[in-house]
Amino acid sequence: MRQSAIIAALCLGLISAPAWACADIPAQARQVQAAQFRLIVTPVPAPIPLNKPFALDIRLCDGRMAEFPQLTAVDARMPAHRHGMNYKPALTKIDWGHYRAEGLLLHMPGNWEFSFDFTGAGKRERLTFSFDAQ
Amino acid sequence: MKLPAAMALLLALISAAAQAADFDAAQTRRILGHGPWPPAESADRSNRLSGNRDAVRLGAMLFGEPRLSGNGAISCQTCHRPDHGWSEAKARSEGLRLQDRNAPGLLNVRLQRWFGWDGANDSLWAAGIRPILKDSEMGGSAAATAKLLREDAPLACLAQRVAPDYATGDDEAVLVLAAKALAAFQETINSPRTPFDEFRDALAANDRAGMARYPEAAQRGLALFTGRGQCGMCHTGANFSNGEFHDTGLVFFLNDPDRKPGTPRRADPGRHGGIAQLKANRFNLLGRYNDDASGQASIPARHVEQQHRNWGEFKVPSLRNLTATAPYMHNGSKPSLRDVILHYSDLDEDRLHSDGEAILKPLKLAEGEIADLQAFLESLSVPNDTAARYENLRREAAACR
Repeated sequence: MRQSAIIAALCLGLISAPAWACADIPAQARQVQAAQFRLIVTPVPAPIPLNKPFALDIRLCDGRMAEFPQLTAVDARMPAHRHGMNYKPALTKIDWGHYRAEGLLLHMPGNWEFSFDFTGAGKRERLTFSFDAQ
Repeated sequence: MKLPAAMALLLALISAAAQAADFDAAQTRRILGHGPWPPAESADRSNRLSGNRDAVRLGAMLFGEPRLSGNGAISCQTCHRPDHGWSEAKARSEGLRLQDRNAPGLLNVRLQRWFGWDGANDSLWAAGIRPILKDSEMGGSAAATAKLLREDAPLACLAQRVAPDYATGDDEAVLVLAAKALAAFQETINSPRTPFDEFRDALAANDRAGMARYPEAAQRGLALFTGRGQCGMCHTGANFSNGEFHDTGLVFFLNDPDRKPGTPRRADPGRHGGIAQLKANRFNLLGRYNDDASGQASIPARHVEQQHRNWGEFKVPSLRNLTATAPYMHNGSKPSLRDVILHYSDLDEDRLHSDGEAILKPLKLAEGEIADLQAFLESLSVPNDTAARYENLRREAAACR
């Protein structure tokens, strides 16, 4: 396919997320199903260490790349403790539907809620999952 | 085996099984998380002198060196006394002037991520520069430190061994060299295994006879620590500290003896001020003196963020070898371990941040529980030979020609 055709296809939202990104999902990855896509989050290193810095590899799958919303923020909080992390993750867009969050650190054991904020098509969406840090 | 001996062994095993049953699966996992001890040693990536034997000797020499101070009378060991768990008995330390806080002990300091009660430094070597330069602590200077390292024969001998061209560097570079040697020495101040560590390893091996050797009061205290007390939420890992910062309802106003009547009392901002100092410090790991090219060591400094709730937060101290480091807390306001336990037993919730740690509640401990918790904390302490090893290092250093 010529480059111009690829760009045109992207503009029309015809190309799906690369299959390689959505297959062979690591055992430590977490998946969350949204209306338009599937969120796959893989910690680096895995599993998430307690009280040590880690990163998250974040991929959006099962949708059309051009229709993917923009990931704007990643965070983690302890609902029972009513506080979050002491660190602010830095978010980098690597490719369409592919991000990396650096600088996370879970400083206490217990239940943490990870949140991923998206904007796109004039609406906002937050996806979450829980993780028991030990 | 004679019958009485067999009976005694049987009774011991039954007793051990009963004690082991006091810990549920979650508690057992938490207890195992407090070891093994000692943890594996790893060099500080940010300090090229970490683990260098001559740098350790140079650091030991400098640690007791009063000429680093402006008045020639104060050294690191003035406040970090080797015979007092590398802390001191005064509630608030005194350098050239009275300090706002208690000198933290230095045993196992290499295991920390942030240094000082407010974590104003992100490396052990930068933490050594602060008191040397601070007017109210040692009141020294880069120029005086560099002059000392260039002119004192044993110090110059050791400095040349660790950095052959150091004398041609500018004064600030020599100050950083001295601080990195001080850090290399402090990395060697480690505490030995304790009765708790023997119990923890026996639990890991399901060695019930070994577990039974741990005093029952300490076991009950450990059950409280890992259970209802929730102490292990912050005092995590082999060093019994998550290395982070919490508000635990301590008074953060300072009693200044020379405060003029009618003037407001000063408050200690704790971590809130520490983050501000960290960001403004040219010796932090985002600066030119960080020896770590991988960027790993500076991750915390890159991502730490000042938040409102940091006001009045102080670092979670390690609990190892506590018996040597009284008084306790950042301001030395608790004279004994019992006072510390009573603080959490009678916790004043009105003093806690509204957006702070929500699980902190008064433990309302019975007298027996207070004694058990104290027995457990005391089981994390044993005598150590770090003071004698320090003197040996200083003798070796003085012989350098």
